Formats: sequence, structure tokens, C-alpha cells
Amino acid sequence: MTTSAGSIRDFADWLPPMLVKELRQGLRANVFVWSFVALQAAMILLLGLRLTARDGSDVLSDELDQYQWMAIGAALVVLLPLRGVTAISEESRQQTLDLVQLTHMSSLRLVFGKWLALVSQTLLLVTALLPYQVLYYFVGGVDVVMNLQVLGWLVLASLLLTALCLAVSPASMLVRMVVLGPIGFFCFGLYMEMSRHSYGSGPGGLIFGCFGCVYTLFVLVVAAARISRPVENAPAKIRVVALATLVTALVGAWNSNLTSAPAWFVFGLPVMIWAGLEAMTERASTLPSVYLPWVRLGWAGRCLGRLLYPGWGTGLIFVLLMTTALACGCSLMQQHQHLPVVVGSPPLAMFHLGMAILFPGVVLSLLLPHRQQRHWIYVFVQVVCVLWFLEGSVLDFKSSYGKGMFFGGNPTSAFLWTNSQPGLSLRVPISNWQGIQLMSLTMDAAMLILLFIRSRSEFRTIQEGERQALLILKSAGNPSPVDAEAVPA
Amino acid sequence: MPPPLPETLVRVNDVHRLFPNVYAVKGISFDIHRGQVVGFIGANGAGKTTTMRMMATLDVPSEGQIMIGNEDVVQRPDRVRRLVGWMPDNYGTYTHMTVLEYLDFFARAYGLKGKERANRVQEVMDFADLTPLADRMMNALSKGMGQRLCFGRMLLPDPEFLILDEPAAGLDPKARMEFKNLVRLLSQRGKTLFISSHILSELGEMCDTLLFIDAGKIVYHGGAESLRRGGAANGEMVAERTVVDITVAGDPSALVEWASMNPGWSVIEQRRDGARLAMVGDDAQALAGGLRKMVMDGLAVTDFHREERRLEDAFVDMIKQQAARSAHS
Repeated sequence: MTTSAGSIRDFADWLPPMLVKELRQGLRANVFVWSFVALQAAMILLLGLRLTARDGSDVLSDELDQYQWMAIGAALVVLLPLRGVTAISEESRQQTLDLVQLTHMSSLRLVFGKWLALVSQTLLLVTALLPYQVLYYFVGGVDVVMNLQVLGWLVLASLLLTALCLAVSPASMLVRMVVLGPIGFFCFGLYMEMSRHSYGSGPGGLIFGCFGCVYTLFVLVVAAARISRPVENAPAKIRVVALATLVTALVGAWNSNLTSAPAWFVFGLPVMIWAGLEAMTERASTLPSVYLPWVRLGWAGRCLGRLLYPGWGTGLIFVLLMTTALACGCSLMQQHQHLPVVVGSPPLAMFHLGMAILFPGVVLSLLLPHRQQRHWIYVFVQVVCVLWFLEGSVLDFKSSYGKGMFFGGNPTSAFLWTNSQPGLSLRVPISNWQGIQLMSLTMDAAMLILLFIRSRSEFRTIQEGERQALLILKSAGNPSPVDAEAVPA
Repeated sequence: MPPPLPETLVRVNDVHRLFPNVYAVKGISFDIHRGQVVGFIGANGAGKTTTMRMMATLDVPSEGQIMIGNEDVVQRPDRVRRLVGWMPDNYGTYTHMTVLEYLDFFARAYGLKGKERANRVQEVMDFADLTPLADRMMNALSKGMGQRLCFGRMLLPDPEFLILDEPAAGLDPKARMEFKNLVRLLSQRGKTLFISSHILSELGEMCDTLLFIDAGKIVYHGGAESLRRGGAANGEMVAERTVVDITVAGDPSALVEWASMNPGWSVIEQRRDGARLAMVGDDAQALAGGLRKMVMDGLAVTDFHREERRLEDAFVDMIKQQAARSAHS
């Protein structure tokens, strides 16, 4: 007997296609099946041990707790997220990525569907663990609320790590290992530390929760950008998420107390720095289809496009906007919390940070204006700047002028130096400024002038793209033959 | 009411594709009309797949323009994709997935819903003879079955223009016949097909037009019959020739010697009991005269057979002539 197409009703129509596909595959995959079975076996074994040790010491109970979290942690934070590492590379290797991209699915839906499928399987596994928590409660010696809280943090860590694994999956194996190793270790350690100290209920929990979600979203958007077609304008999505992060950080810090306010900025910075890196390494697109959705919105769309079109010219405006918002936000925060203006230098540090993000753009636009792959050059320039700072830290300068010349030589070292020095602020009288600030601010001004001059060609490309898009819009009165032949969607 | 698709469905105009330090495609131009079945032939590395990927919006030309249904593949890839079906040379498999689930996934990805999706998947399965394989896991399919599945997937959105990259490569004779049958059926339905291969014989009989690409350049654009008769690129004619397979009693070297002594004759291949000879021109009288002379000169001819000129030979001759011409110039 053969199966007909009408018999396949395992998933509803409204579910994303990629989620359906990944679930069909994933639930049959050995990794999921064996993780599920092994975890169930471990839980049953631990339950048996708890039952036998009911009248035993607390020490044994604590040990059993440790084993339990080790097993759950290994499954949720290591084994299940790691399946994402080959999710996109495998599609690419099998040449199925091309086939999927020729459908109506955008790369963001593709990546999001994959992530959702992996996460669904993780949640399925977690759901299967819940009955054991209830049983442990009846056996005794277990704080169920605490356990559920830890489980919640582990799930959040799992979601973020799964997204991270997906994000690096289009890259080469070397890059995957280099990126995943330290970041994965850091995330795992951070979340385990949090769960151990039960930060979940305090302001720390709110920050971790918020930024866990923001990071996950950002990482997925970046993953989608790696495989997206130019027409999808992936840079715009990255910048929108970065701006959302900025708003989250500002709102969070505004409503926080003196101790937790800086944490909102610190957690928001990685997203904004990464978005800056992406923005300063892009090239303006010549495809009118990139500009079409914005041009359709009229002058407002075109103005917004100056911030969100691909290309480092618009990236320059984007980074400057973020820098200004951060610096102003920090300054307002200081006033809001009635801090003496000379304590710390957050606005100045934010300003230097923005300039540090822009700096490799100078090198790229002057030395490698036509290079396509620019990320590694950007990272290389920043690494050189950090080494410059480290070199300066061990040198013995004879005068403050010499020191200023050295550290102010590039914005990254100026940023690092400013951050390592207390008591500097833009509000301090100019006579108190050290040579380094004068040097670095002069350098920054020169850098900005140069970048704006060099970005004219980028904006010319954008203007041409907009003009072409307008022509397409005008000819829309004569519908294309393709419209008539559109697929039955 | 939007106008119908243009008669010239595909226009490729002076397209170049530069990869780091190497031109895969060097200024190719051709048109494809609606309903045509076009064979795209070239050796491995000639630029076939690169050209097809650009037409399928999966790659971008370095220079030049490709228009499909009056839409530029670079400027409006989203619109072009509605018209194009793409079947790569290496169809990818998904593990842990059945044939039906695979088609259902792509139907969902193309935006088909509910009953419409089920009907379309069933139509495609019936057309590509996949219904008996519906429950089979993809990694348990033979090469031929896999190609049929890939063919079915390509047909899901009912595209107007189908691009097939080496679809018959690695197929057994039965699967090749099935594939040719599918192409014939699609052609009858008015679809435009662009099929690549490096095996000329399999394309000659099912294509209206042949396009030959060599080292990134189009060296021939015309019909199979015209090529057999000696047509070359840009409508020029290469010297026509007649191939005769001759069997002799005794030593075949006498036949080879005879061919080298007589102007207008040449040896293509010597065999144990004879040789394949080529005669310049296709005049029947001249051929009869040559055979008579052969007998008169004392050769013991026991059998002869005039061969239909093979596309492979025509292609090789044309490439040689091209090379000679470019060396001369």
C-alpha cells in the first residue's frame, strides 16, 4: 500500500516549514533519542539512590544533587546545543541550502526555524525531567523551587548556546572551534555561577534574562546574515537589533540602582560592538531591489535608509548615533543618580568606544577600499591596537606628553587607557586634561573628517540604487509578466 | 491584466564571470525561446554550471546581463525565482526524512497550504513516478530515484523555465530512458528546458537546440542536425566529411596505406579487420567513385558501412577548427 500526499498531517500549516522539517529529522536523530534515553536512565538511577539513601546523610543528598545537575547540564548546555554546529554547514555541503534559498523562505526564517526546532527538542527533554523533580520533592531533601529556577537558567543558557552554535555553523571548522570554545565555556560558567548563587530573583536575574534573549536574537540575526542574499538587506536587521539592545540598556539602567546600572551597559556593549564591526566592514549595494522597500516608504523611508542601508557609509552614521546615544545616556544617568560628575568617565569612555569601532574603517577605506572579505582585516587592526595599548602599559614614559602621544595614537588604545583611569570626564576643566585626551580627540576629529570624505562614494552608490529603485516603482504601473506567472502561493 | 511572458524567455548578453584569477565564463550571449528544449554541452570545467547558477540567481555575473521573462537576475532575483526551477548536478539528501516529507517540506517552503499543498505534492509524485517511494527514507534511494525526486521537487512551484545541471549523470540506461520520458512530457506541456551534459548523444535526440561551451565561450549554437552537417559557431560551416567503416580480407594496413595515398581520404581509426576512414564532402557520387577505386586498386573489401556523423565527432572537429583558427589568427 502506498501513502498519498494527503495522509501527511503531522504538523499544522501555520508552523514554519523549516521547523517542521527539522523536527521531523531531529526527533529521529540518534543524538536526541540517546540523550533522551540516557537522561531518563540517569534520573531513574538517581531516584533509586535517593530512595535507598532516604535516611542517610545530607552529604549523600548533596552529592546526588551534583550528579543530577551534571547530567542535565551536559545534555542541555553541551550535547543538545552542539547539534547546531553543523546545521547550516551540512545544508551547504549537501547543496540543499541553494534549494531552500530558491524558495520563498528568507535566510532569517531558515535560521530561526532551525533554532526553534533544536529548542523544541530541548524543551521536550526538559518537560520529561519535570516529573522527577516532583518525585524528588516527595522523597524529600530537595528545594523544588530552587531546582526549577536552576533548570530555567539552564534552559536559557541552552537557547543562547544553541543560537551561538547555529551562528558559527556557516564558518569553517577552525573558526567554529576558535569561537565556540571560549564563548561556550564563558557562557556555561557564567550561567552555572548564576544558578549556584541564585541570582534569579534579583536585579541580576532581570539583566541576565533580558540579555540572554537579546543575545539569542542578535546571534540568530547574524547567523542569517552569513547566508542571506544581498536583496534581504541583512545589515538592517543586525542594526535594528543593536538599536533595540541600546534602548534596553538605557531603559534598564535608568530604572536601576547605582550598583546594577553599569551592568546594563556592560551587557549591552558586546552586541553594539559586534554590530559596529558588521557596519564598518560592509559595502554599499548596487542592487535596486535592496532599496526598493525603503524608497516605497517615501522620504521617511529614504531617511531611515541612511541608517539601515548596507554599506560602511551608513554604518558610520549608525555607529555615531549609537555612540552619541550611549554617551548622552551615561551623562543623563549620572545626573539622574546624582553622582558627582568627576567620578568615573562613562560618557568619555563611550565616546572613545565609538571612535574605536570606527577606526578600522579608516584603514579599510584608505588601504583596502575594494576588498570583499573585510571582517578579518577589521579584527586584525583592533588586535594590533590592543597590542599597542599593552606595549604602552609596560613602557616607562619620561613625560605625560609622550604618554599622551602614544596612547592617543589610536582610538582603541585611548579607549582602553581611559577606561583604566579614574577621574576623567569631559566636564573636567580643559586645563586638567592630560595630553592623551587632547591627542586622541584631535585624532578622532581627523578620523571622522577623513571617513566622511571617503564615504561619499558609498553614498553615491546608494543614491544611484535609490534612483533605479524609483524607476522600478514608476514602472510598476505596467505589471511585470512574472506577476501573471506567479506560483500558487 | 499583466502581459504574457515574452517569446524570448531568456536573454543572456555578454556575460562574464570572474573568479579569483580565472574567468569561468567569458562573454557568452544567447537567447532561449519559450517552449524550447536547449542542450548545454561542454567538457568538465567549461563553465556550464557557473552559467546555470547565474541563470538560477544563485551566482552573480561579473559583467553582462541575464534577463529571464524580462526580469534581470541580478536586479530582481525574487521575481526571476518565481519563473525558474533548478535541479543541481548533486541533489542533496536529508537524513531521517522520507520522500513524501521532503516534498511536503519544499511545498510548505514555496508557500503552498492545506489541500492545495497535498494536491500539488500528489500531482508531482504521480508525474515523477514517486508515489511508490513515498514512505522510503531519502538515504535509501538509488541515484535514479533520487534524480526523480529532485525533478519532482523542482516542479512543485510549477516553474516556466527549468534548469537541469547534468541530470542524467550516473544514471543506468533504464533511469536515463525514464528521464528522457519526463523531459518529453514537460516539453509537451510547453515548459522551457535548459539541460546541461557532457554526453552529447543523450542530448542530441531530446533537444531542439544545442549550445556548446568551451573554455567559457559559446562555440556553437544551433540544431543537432546542423551540427552533424558541419555547422559551426556564428553560422559558419566547417568542412563536411563522410565517415565510412570498411572491412577488408587480409592485412588492414593496405587499406590504411591506400587512404594516405589518396587525396581527400584520411584514417580515423585502424581496426583488426579494417578501418574507419573519412572522406572530405558528402557527395554520394564521390563516395561511390572512391569505393570503386579501392576495389580496383586491389583491396579485398568485404563490407562497408557509411556512418551517421556522431555529435561527438562533430564537436571535436569543431573544437579543432576553432583552435586552428585562433592559432592562425
